[in-house]
Amino acid sequence: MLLTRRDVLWSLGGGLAGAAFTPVPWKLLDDVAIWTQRRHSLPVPPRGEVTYRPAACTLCPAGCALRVRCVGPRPVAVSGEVRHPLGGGACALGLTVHHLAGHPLRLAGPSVRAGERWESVALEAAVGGVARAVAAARAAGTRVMVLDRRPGRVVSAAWRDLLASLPQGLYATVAGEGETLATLQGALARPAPLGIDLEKTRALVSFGAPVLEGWGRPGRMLAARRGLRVVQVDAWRSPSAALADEWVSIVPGGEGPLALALAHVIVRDTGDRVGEDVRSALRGFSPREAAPLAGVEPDGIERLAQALVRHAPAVAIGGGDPGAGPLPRDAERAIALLDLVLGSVGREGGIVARRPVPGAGAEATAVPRIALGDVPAGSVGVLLLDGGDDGRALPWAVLRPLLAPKAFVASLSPFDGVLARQADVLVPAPAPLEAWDEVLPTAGASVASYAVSAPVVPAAPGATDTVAFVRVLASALGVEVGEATHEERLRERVAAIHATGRGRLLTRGEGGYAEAPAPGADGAWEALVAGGCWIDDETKPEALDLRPPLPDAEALRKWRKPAPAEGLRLVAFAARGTAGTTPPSPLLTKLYQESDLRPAATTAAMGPATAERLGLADGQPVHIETPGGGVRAALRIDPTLPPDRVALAAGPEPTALHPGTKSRARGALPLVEAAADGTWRETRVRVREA
Amino acid sequence: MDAGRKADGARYGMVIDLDKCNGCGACAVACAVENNVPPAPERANDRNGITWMRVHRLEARGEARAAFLPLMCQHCGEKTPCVSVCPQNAVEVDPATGIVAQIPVRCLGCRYCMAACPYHARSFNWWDPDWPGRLADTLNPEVSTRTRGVVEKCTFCSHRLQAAQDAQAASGGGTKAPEYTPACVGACPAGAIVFGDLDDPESEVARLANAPGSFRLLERLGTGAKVHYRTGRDWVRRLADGRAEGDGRTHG
Repeated sequence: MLLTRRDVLWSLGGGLAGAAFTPVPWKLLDDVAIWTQRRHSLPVPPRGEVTYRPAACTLCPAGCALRVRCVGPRPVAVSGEVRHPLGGGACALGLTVHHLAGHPLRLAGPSVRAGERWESVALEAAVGGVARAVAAARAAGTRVMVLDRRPGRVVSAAWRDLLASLPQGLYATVAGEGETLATLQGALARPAPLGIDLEKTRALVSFGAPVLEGWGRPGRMLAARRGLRVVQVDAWRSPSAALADEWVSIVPGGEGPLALALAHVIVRDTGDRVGEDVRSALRGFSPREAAPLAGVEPDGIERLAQALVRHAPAVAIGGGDPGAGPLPRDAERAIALLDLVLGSVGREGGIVARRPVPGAGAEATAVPRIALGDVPAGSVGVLLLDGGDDGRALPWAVLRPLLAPKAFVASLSPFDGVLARQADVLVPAPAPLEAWDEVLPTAGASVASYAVSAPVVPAAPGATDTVAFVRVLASALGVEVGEATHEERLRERVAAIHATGRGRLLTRGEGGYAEAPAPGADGAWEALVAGGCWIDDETKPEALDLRPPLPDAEALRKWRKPAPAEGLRLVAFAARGTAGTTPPSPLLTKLYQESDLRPAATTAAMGPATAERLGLADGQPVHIETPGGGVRAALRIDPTLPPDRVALAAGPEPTALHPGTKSRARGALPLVEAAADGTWRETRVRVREA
Repeated sequence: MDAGRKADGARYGMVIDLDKCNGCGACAVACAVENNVPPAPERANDRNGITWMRVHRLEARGEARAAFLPLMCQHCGEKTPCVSVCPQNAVEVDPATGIVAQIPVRCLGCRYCMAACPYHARSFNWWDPDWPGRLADTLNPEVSTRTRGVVEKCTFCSHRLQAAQDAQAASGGGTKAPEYTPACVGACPAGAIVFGDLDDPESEVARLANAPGSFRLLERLGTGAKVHYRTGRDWVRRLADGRAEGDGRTHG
């Protein structure tokens, strides 16, 4: 038989076709796939002795108590202390706090700006640069300002000690979650910290505060939730609005007029509880007049006001969302006035006085605290940004107008971020869990409390504890701040608390927390370092003597005759702890990217009618612009969003989850336009197809 | 052996109270930390990311309050779809505990199990895992990391069960199934998740699973899921069970 070339080709072809029906090629394919897997690059975590160490999360003001699981020296997991007497548990952010020491945005050590680049320098060189800038500011007659976003700590006291030695020192703080209470505190005849007797409150009206997703101590809020009617007043269906018993949708900026309208109805219906000054402020804010200002129907205002009276004691709070920033001061005054009209101030279940936490110089110091909104524009020659973070947004657009020409900025944040990028010098502080820290009462706490957090891991070589930095800077400036270290200052504070004889010390044991017998100052310190806490004695609510907190005449005039609203309004928002200078763990992609449980800063939301009017479709890339800047985002159509609003997260910054990203999505912060009072709620945006 | 029937151990299961869940996502993140699930690369999304536990937001027109549905492997007891389709025996039901285990080293990445799972509770490793910065230093040595090309899912933190079994044996044993807590259960600040032996009539989880108001997802499929849910809201139950009448919508 003659074997032709054609026969060979047929045989080969048939053989190949037949082989496809055998396991051989598929096995080969599988093996090739396996060979491409980079098994050798998979990390193999080392084993070691398992220990548990107490700590506290300081990524937001809640200060949740933590238990850190370590394998050898490495922290590998964190859990919240669910049995903590002040309310336990931890949020998603806190459960990843042990990732932050190794976060890709962690700064390695001191550095100075050299044009567009950063140059690593020794600590002494960095401090020398700050000292020269302080001397220059002194010569130029400008101020040296420390911005402390977590006031009340021993670190805060160290800063104030330093500023007391500088004739032009300013100690500035930002508005926080407890701003309504701070407004009422400022109106007291005898100022004292205020809290909310939440366990006995029957109704809570939140003007944009994220009360059900992260406000005050979340564990306390969860415990109080069952008997509490929550009304959320918000310009969008925020997570708290979605969990509240009622969502009142308002126009952005409608908080003040709505609070006054509610107060108007209550005064009208309940008679003569208030003076003529209050009545005068409420004129022009009847439900019918306030309805277009607040974006709420008159019937809705009437119904809500009557419900608040029916559910007494009811408390109204503002404070704002961590991404949207603080409410204007006059809006806070209007909300505080509503509390007064509701009769909620100084009563059980309402707003009550608490005693301050002793020690750390408290508030008695030569350098008083000044609100950021009160700092004169162009007055700051040196800005020192403390590394403590409240987790709330602070756009550079708010700080920039305060700076004098050629002002010098130093950042002590452990991380690269929006504010650190504007600095001239970076002196990174230790990351969370690397340094001593302390936990102070949260906004709304009705009794004082105190806890300390000992370092779980040693600080990175390039990190400088803030108290140590203050001492080195004082030395460079030739002024005296005392030689006490951070730990020694904390010990002094614990001794001061112990010396008052007030409150009870709770120690953490296997079965939970138990009251410890009076152990002496050293014993108290050891108990706190071991995860215990100090809680002040509860006091009976007493009537408080205060003058009505009234909005300024100018604000009232503006609210009564608002400028016509045109264009799209930006609704910025962020979850607690995600919009500050501390980036969250990249693992938070589980919430922001791998599910849409939380909207990421890469996605802008718009109502369907607004999108249709602009000719935009769901998922489409869009460019969002203001005079301040522009960002990219993917559009998401959200049927719950009222017309003419664009909701965009202010945090976490996309670079926090994906360091080195080339994406031009930056979230809401680069867009915002700051008002003179340091708020940024009136930003109008343009949206176009990208 | 029938996977729904236990041999001589336990039938571990879970009850999640949807009226307590506030959608904080702590369970999902605690799960990822415990089980060495890597952060997503930039191009990942909610369809191809790795989430052993995912929280879906449920909304319905006319309802003031939203609800949240934590969803993970339901650890089917009967007719376990993923087991029946896996050509590699990479999915097994432990008859002593009822836990549906995934064995990555056997997995060939065909993803039949993902297609078969009615709960969409499995994830495929589309990319090599990457822990940026020094995050790899924080990995849990009790759980092995997985490569690209394999499927993974919730294991009810079975490594914690093994540790509990070891501890029980070391302390003299005992016939009762050891108690342990998966990471999501311990992390939930609202106390919405209860875990334990569904076959122990004295257990809280068994009591809640059999109480009025409890249900299982897609119960009509007869998968015998060991994750139960509870709610007092009818619309949540209808929506969670995929039987909403056109007025509901989900995110997640």
